Amino acid sequence: MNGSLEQFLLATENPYRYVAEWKQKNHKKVVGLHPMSIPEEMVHAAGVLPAVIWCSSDPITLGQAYAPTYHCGFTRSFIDDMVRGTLGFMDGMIFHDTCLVARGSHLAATRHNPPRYLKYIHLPPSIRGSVARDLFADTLEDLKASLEELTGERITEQSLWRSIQVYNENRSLLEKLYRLRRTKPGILKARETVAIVHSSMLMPKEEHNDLLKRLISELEKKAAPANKRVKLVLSGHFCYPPRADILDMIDELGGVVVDDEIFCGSRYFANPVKEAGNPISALFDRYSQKTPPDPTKVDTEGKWTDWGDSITGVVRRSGAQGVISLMVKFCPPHQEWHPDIKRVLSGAGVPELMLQTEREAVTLAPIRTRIEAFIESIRGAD
Amino acid sequence: MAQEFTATPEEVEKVRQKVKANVPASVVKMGKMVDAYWEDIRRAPQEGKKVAWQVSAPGAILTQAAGMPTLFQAAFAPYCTARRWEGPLLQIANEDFGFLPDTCSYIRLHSGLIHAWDTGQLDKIRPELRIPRPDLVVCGRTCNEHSTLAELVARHANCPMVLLDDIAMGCVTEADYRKRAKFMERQMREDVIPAIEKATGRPYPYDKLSEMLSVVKQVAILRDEVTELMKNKPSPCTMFDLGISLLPLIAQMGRPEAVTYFKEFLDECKDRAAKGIGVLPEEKYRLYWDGYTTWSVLGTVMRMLAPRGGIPLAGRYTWSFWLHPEMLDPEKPLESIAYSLVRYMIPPAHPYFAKDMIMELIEDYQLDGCIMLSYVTCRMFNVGQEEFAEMAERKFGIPSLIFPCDMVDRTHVNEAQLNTRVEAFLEMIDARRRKY
Repeated sequence: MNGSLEQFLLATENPYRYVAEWKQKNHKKVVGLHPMSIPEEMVHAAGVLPAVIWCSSDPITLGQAYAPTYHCGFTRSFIDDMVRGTLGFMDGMIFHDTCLVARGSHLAATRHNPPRYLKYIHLPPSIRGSVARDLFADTLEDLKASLEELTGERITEQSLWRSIQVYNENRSLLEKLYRLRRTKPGILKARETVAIVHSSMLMPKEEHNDLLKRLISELEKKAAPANKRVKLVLSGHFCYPPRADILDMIDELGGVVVDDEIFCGSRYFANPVKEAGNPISALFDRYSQKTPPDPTKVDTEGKWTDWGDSITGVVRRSGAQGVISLMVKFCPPHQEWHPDIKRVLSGAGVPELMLQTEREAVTLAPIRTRIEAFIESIRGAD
Repeated sequence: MAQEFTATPEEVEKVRQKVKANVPASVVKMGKMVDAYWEDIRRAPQEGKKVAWQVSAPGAILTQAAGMPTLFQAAFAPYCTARRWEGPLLQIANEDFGFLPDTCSYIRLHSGLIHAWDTGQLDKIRPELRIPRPDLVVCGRTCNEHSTLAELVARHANCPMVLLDDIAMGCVTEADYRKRAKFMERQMREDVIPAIEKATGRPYPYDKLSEMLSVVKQVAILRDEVTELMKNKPSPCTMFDLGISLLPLIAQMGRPEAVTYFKEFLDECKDRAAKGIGVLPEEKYRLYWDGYTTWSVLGTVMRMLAPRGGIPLAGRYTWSFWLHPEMLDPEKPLESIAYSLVRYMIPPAHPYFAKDMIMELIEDYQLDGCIMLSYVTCRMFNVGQEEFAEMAERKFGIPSLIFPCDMVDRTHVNEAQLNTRVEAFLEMIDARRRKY
């Protein structure tokens, strides 16, 4: 187990080094993708490594001059990377309108050490209707053409289906891993599970699949640790992984994460692409799935209870006893819906703790106290 | 028939005293036009009319043409804030609904209103702000949070919502814009118009839309003549006077009194330009202003700038509505509205496009510096400002002041600090003039 897990942890420990070394070793192009919704399969089909752009843990220095402090840490980190040129090994970047500050990331990328290939695509925010489907198809055809120009190679329907199959295998394996975690709580630390998913965003999927199969095979043979930890679900935390020190705290203080709906978690691999029909239409079908509810997209027929109900569903299927909402500070998509999430969870009798997390080093003691109190309150109630 | 609005000399003088500037008399009556607009919407249920709430770029023309009095979200916020009525709504949103205080203040205002309706707290807000709940929400998406606002409102008001996706990003060539405009036109035909027809129970009146678009075109052409005169030194009006006058271009479109208003505004500006009369006795600092007509500090900022000779003259927000009105074709209303939105109205909200527009405004209006209010809760406008400031410095050698603020929520505004920073900023312009 240590072999596979170690590989996942190494990749996420220093993504700059991992991706740059991969590129050097394999003599292939790397294209960074702004999280969270760009269909990676299309980029994979172009024969390049699609690497979801990450959040650095280094102090922000030169980039400080180009973004206000009340933008999320991920954006400030990326802008700092561009100004300092630390992503210079990337051959290209693709952006889309994840949120408003993503527009600032794109502008920074055009002005500070821009990569050779820089593309902004418009993915329709609406998940309903034929116009959204047609616009998505038009956008992907345009993306395909630009990638072909980058690589000099055609992306055929067959190559796109092959990429979809590889990605679907990864999704299936991650889903299997998550099922294992639900049935054997504590078999992996919270930070390890997040690293496994995060590394999938950095590694070639084929390699990640092989490592995952080995890990799953070992975990299947392993017994669940005997413990009376409080079972918890993590919610939210878009665009980049939660801080490992906060995840460690949950483990140390008597909690165990049994499921999640965070970006570097089940959201990343939710909903396989249906392998039938037109591949771009199939990608739209995945993109426009209503579960888990995605606040960066628009559902004109949604209900205010949707996200809360979805989280409640995750709680029920995993037997969790509570939810920790990890809200990235200055993340509008999460904070704007959180009041409704809270209302639904409260109505469903699901205890919830909302923690605003920051990228920068902050005093962790108050967070520790709150997590500890939350876990104890659940224990006391049980 | 056109409604008549007037402002007495006493009312004009009161405004001029308040902002310490010789603002055009013709703009003072806009307050009354605004009152009439909101009264129309408040009366709608008694008159058996369906009410629409419009979020984002001026799709309000689509619902208004169908006879639906329409709350436009970027008109409701100024209405609340300019008169300092926003407090109770924000309080309901923060304390009762549960929003964090750095949540978009437009979202908090509108959700606060719906929540007040839902929970029987209307008595906590002024009667003027008790806008009827929507029968339909039409949402554009110039800003990503526009759709969140629309979804929150529609879901809690339990009414239909339809999306008009503003889709300019990614466009590079004219062909790209034309293609995107076609998608937008499809959205109007396939999604928005049917939703309006369902809400009103009547076929969509395209002839009325054409008529209203014709009025919008006239108004925008008159507006363009005003903005051209603002290149004069001294300028006959400020950017804020234009911002105050936006009602007929974004919120309540197609009314004949709007043409009267802008004709009078233009005539007054022409007269001032001919006589060399400006807004200030001495126009020392001609300034770019980035952001909305910031109602939370509008009067405050004018009182800081005007006595010192500072005049906010141009800004991308005020300049972005119905640009190039000559291409609006009332015979093809959906097609030309779609193209205007995609090609001209939405791009300034994206920093990648806005940067070029800002540099052009600085050059065209011969501006001496930039004031960029960085709205803590509005990421549509605070994104990219540091880049713009650097560009203005490199290209024109002019300084910028970026100051944290908010367009509605005064708890994010420190007036004393703003005053100090404005003072220092103007001194910096002076120092550079002496140096160069």
